[in-house]
Amino acid sequence: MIKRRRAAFVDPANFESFVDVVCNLIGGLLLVAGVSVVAVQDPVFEVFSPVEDSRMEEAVSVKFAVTEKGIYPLDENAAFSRFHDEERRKPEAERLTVETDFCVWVLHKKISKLVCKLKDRSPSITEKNLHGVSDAALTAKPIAADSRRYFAYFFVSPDDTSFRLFRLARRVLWKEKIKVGWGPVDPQKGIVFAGISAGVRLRPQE
Amino acid sequence: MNKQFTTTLLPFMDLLTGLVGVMILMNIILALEIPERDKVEVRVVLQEPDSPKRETELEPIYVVCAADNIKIGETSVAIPKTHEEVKELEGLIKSEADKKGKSAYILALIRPDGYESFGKLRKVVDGLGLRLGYEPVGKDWTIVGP
Repeated sequence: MIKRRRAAFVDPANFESFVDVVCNLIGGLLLVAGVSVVAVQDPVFEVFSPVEDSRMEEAVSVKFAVTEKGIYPLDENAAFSRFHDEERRKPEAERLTVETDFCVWVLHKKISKLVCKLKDRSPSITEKNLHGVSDAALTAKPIAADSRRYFAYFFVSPDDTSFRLFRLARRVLWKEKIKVGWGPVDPQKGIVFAGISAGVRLRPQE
Repeated sequence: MNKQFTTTLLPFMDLLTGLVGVMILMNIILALEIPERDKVEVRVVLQEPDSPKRETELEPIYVVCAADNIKIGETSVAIPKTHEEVKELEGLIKSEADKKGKSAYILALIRPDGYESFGKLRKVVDGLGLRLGYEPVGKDWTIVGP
């Protein structure tokens, strides 16, 4: 007996629900694709075009170092008062070293060069507490009292994260009407700042 | 003749399945592009909200400082090492500054790897007595102009 081939039985109800599932899947994928397209199409960002304020040549700066980890206030005055004690103990020394909160300071007396090397410590200011920058600046020097004489200066590590962090910190200080200067540095080599002898001129920008 | 018309959704299912495949492929491609978001286009602006206001109007000459070159407008020069190369850079900057007149100043856009070239540029600009401004820009940012 020859059996007649029959088409496979398809339950219309089940098949329709399967089509529903596939259609929903397509809808979901379309949604994901739409979101991804929006995410990929970046807006054009804007970057500020500052200029050095040469009128503030003699101004005093509150200094910070910016690395990928965060922002370190550099207390130059604390270092200098410690150098003063050190110098009394070692008057003949050509090279004096002192440690403060976040860095090791080295003074090369003969060439009047001051170098600051960051310690491997967590910074006190990160992106989460950026207001700490203005707190540190206002506490360290009476900037608020005389913003023509004081400004904040950032030694910024050469990487995208540090650059971004610096721009954010600068906005915080601008809101407080504090002028800001910056310069790119390699923290591995140490931050050299000792005025003209080190070839570094610290000025704010406007 | 008794013709029986039956409708089937199978060709429609084929289409849907094909569409699902294409959508999955599209999502994968888009997902791979998202990590490249750093390649953003950047426009330079003269003021930012809360930035200090300038007393005089200045016209910037854009210079991009990168790891191995200094780009002034469309001209790119290697980091100057010899006296002749320094003079060449000086000449380029001076000719650009002369075009813009007294209100010209150099605006250096510094890439993360461009701090060495910025150091060289700074010496040249100071030597020429021009005003200088500088701003950090991302490694992959494309400067689209003011």
